Order: sequence, then structure tokens, then C-alpha cells
Amino acid sequence: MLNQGEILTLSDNRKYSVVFTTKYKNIDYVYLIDQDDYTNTMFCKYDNNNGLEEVSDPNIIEALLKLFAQSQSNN
Amino acid sequence: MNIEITNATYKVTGAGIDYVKGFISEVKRLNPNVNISAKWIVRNYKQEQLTIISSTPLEELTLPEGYYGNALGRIMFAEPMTEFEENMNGDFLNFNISESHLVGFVNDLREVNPNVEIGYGYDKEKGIGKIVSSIPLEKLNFPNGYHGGIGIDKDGYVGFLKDRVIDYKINYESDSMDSSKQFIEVTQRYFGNVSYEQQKKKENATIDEFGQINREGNTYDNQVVAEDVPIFEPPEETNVVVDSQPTKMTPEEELVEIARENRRFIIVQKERAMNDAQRDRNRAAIMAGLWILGTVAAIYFNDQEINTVLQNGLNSIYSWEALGQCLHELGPLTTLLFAGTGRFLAKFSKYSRKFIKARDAFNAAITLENDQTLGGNEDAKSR
Repeated sequence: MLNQGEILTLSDNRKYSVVFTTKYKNIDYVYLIDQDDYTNTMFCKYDNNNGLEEVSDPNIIEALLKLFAQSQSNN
Repeated sequence: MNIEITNATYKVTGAGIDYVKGFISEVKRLNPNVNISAKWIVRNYKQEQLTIISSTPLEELTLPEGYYGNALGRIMFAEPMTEFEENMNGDFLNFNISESHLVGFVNDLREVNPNVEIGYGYDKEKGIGKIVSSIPLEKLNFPNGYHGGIGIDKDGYVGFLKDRVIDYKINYESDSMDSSKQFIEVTQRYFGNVSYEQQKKKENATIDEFGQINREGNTYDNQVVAEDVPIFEPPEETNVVVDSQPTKMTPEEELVEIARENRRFIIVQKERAMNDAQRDRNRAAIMAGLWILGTVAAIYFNDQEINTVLQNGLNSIYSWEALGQCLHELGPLTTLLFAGTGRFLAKFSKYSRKFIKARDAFNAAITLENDQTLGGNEDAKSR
């Protein structure tokens, strides 16, 4: 599992900061931001074997946004 | 109609349409001979991108001072979009098409060509479609609207235009914002120089036998072939298998299409910040990410008035001293964060009405007038 604060260099040769991590329907998700381009952000599905896959399904994004909002109100 | 391809196109992500209008007016006033306009461009059939197109690179023009003086800073990533220009001048048909799109296109084609017999075939496995017509293909009228973004090659293979332009009506004489959008043709819809067969030859693919052709008006039952309809037969070398009855795209198919666009990455390296500079940079990025995500969530779930969301966000930005120090290299902070938020919302608005609504509300709120209303002491440093 990835943790907030970690810095990932991905296969596009860009460095991303891990902003937020969560689990939804037993799948790990992370929200990443490009350290050099703040318009390049993404939610990714993550597992050790397959790496990262960007999420585009708006239903999943909505669920992840809810989880994010809940995590912020708990802090 | 041909789109005007000029020397310089600029992607606008940090400024609203009103600011862009004002900027363009000033540039025209200072440079009477320049041809400059703004358009919404859909690139690779994804979200619209407000784009400035200029006959001369902006950096070579006399640019306005004062209010629009830092326009190039606000026109985020103000760099020539050469990829866009290359796409427009080269092969720009994506031949993968779903059957529902093909059928919709054929329906529209038949409407605008009422005296023409038009048939189609679809290969479900390959995801390619082809039309036949009782008149030469280049003489067909093409529809506008939703299926206006489709073209055909010289053999009738149907594809999506990789780029299309929605002409945003910009009324320079009036103070009122004319928000109507008018879809215009990008260029001729028949592409004599773009060929599916040439593309497939490059890929060493084979084309199957072209079976039945649907010649009926509005029925797509594969069992019904109008043998007595006097239209020309497809040439023998045109081989696309006609499949079953057309269906609407199912939610699963839509998700498959969404998944095709997903980027995949391998993690090359995972690390923690090892020194102060890395820590500052990482912390700044994380705080920016939290800001963007928080703003998106607040707007999307609509639990606060949007101007309140943005004002609270701006207040938090100005208290981030570390962020301010770190971001001098990247550009004006609010511009960056607004651009990040806008792009997040736009990315998911293709398949979601909720995201469209959130995106539109956000875009309306971040026009320059709202920036002034929201206020702040942004220490704007352009790239």
C-alpha cells in the first residue's frame, strides 16, 4: 500500500506526490499530483502486481470523493 | 469549411472566457493586422479546451499592459500546440466506432440526403463500420450536431474526427456574454487522403468479406435485405462482415470505452523526501492536491455555495507561506490550483452529467470578475 507523503517516479518519468489513499470495494486507490504540473492529477487503482491504473469511471470517482470528504471531516 | 490553421495556438486553462475576450480585443487593438480568435476545441474527442489561435505567435506581438499585462501568465502553459496543428494537417480519423454511433450517423446522413440510398455494414469484432451510397461519397451532405464529429474515408469507412471545433460565439461589441455555442465543421467531412485500408495495410491486418448490407430506411433487422432497392453493389474488394441487429451502447460497453482511455503506469521509484528542498516541494504538492480535491468535492456535492467554496479556498492559500515560497518557480498559485480543479472536473464530465454541472458551475465562478470579487493578495508571478 502507498502512503501519503511518498514520492513516486512513474513510467512517464514524472514525479508524483501521494496526496490521499483509500480503499473502496476492497481495492486500493491513491490520489496523485504531479510535482511539476498541478493540473496533472489522478486517482489510480493500485496493486503490487499491476502497478497503477488511472480511474476514469465517474461513479468510482464520486465514491472516492465521498471517502475523501469523510476523511477530512474526521481529521 | 476549413479551419484556419495558423502558426500559434495556445491552450487556455487559467483564465475564463471573459478575460480571454478582453485580452483578444486588446491584442487586436495593438496589432491591427493580426488574426486572432478563441475557440473551444475538442481534442481526441475528450473535453473541450478553450484555445487561442493567432496568425502570429503571441510573444512576437505588442501585448497589452496593465489589466491584461500578465495575460500570458494567466493563459496557462502558453505554448504553441504543435500536436494540435499536426493532427489537423495529417491523418485525423479514428476508425474505431461503436455500432450505436454508426447507426446514429447513418440515420443523420439519410435525413440530410433524402434522395440518396445509404446502407452500412459493421464489424463488431473489429469495431469498424462502412457506408455505401447511391451517389459518390464526396457528394454526400454531412450532418451537424452530435454525429457531426464523424467523417468517412474515400471507401466509406467511418471514423471519428480526432479534433473538432466548437465555435464559441464571441461578441466583441457587446458587454453581454454570448454563451451560445455553435458547432461548425472542422473541415470537409469526406477525406480523400485518409484511408482505412492504408492504415490497416500498415498494421498488416486483413479485412473480411463484406456480407449483407443494410439498405432499409429505419429498420436494422439483418434478416431484411431490400433486394429490390436499386442501389449499387459494394465493390468486391470492400469486405466488412455485417453483424447482428444494432444495439445501443450498454453501460458495460461505455465502461469499456472509458477504460480504453485510462493511463497505466509502473512505479519506477518510491521514496520519501530526503532533504529540506524535497520536503518543501512534496509538502507544497500535497497541499495543492488536498486543495484541489477538497474544492472538487465541495463543488460536486454542492453542499456549499460555490463562491463561498472558492473564497475559503483562497483564504487558505494566502496563509500557506511554504507554498508561496515553493511555487515561485511554477507560477501564480491561484491560477495553478484553479487550473488543476478545472481539469479534474472537465476530465470526468464526458460521461457524467453531475460532473458537467460541477464543471460549468466552477468555470462560471472563476471568471476574472469573480477573482476580483473574491479578492486576495495574490503574489502573482508568471512563468
